[in-house]
Amino acid sequence: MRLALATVLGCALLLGASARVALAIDPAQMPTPALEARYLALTHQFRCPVCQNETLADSNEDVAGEVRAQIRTMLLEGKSDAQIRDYLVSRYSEFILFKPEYSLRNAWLWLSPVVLLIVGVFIAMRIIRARSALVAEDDWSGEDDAAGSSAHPR
Amino acid sequence: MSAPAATPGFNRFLVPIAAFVLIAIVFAVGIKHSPQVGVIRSPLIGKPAPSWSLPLLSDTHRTFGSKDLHGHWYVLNVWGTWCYACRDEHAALVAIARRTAVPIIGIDWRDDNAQARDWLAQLGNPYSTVATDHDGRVVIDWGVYGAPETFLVNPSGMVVYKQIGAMTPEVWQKEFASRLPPQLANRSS
Repeated sequence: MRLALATVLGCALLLGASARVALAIDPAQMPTPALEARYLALTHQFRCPVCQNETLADSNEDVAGEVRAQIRTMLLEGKSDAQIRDYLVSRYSEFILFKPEYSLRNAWLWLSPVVLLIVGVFIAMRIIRARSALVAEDDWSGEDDAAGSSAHPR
Repeated sequence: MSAPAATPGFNRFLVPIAAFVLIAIVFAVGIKHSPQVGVIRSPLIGKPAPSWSLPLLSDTHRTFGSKDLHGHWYVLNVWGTWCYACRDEHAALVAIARRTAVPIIGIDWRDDNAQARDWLAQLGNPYSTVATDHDGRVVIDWGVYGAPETFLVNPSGMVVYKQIGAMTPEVWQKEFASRLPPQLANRSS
């Protein structure tokens, strides 16, 4: 009985604590569902300035809360998503963007996976060709295998 | 006979070594430019400083801001009593304030006014003016992400330099005094 009570109490405490955390992260409410949706989308697009891998929406940091407040203010002022994005980049540099911009400066970033893929395919093809050549030769020289197997070490 | 079989040693090692060197270069560049606190160069440098206006710590009914500073060189230091590095740099700021003729404007960030006043009474006040930013509105506009940060603004309102982290006499000499007109950098007394 005592154990059951303790369990119930523990669960209640945990629930209470998690509810408080959720509230602490973002107590903001936008006046309309459309603004709320844009607010949520924007806060998930930007990085918290002091945490390497957290979005503004997910971060408990005070600075993240202040940047969220700035986004909220700009949305309420009627600023577009692009204006808000440009504003944050002008203050915090591209670092704040989770998705890097398509620009000449970032070309290496966007192109390197393609280049790596091409290099990989090239290497794979060479290996496959070399192997199939070996197999073909083995077939050809199948009869004197016992004598000449050391010619092609694996 | 195909090329790989003709030069087995060459091929076996060239590709992995080339890949290793390539990856090593990518990682070296990545580590060198890794966006750690203190590494992001402010995009505001060379651009007009954000205009701002905030209540004074000494008299919260009065405001102070960029329009009061137009036409003057000024140093803007973002601090707070909750910030450990601000305590570290405070003595340096006090010493610099004695030496320079440039106004050092303090922005007390996300702080309690009474605590801030106590702090200045105890540790000395290097600031010509202290404004308070409780909700970080202006501080975010300056692209600040952690205290202390210190900006240098020229008379036409351009941000000339930004120091992330504690101010030291060395940083002052190298990055601030060198950018200031000599008669301002060091007060002639």
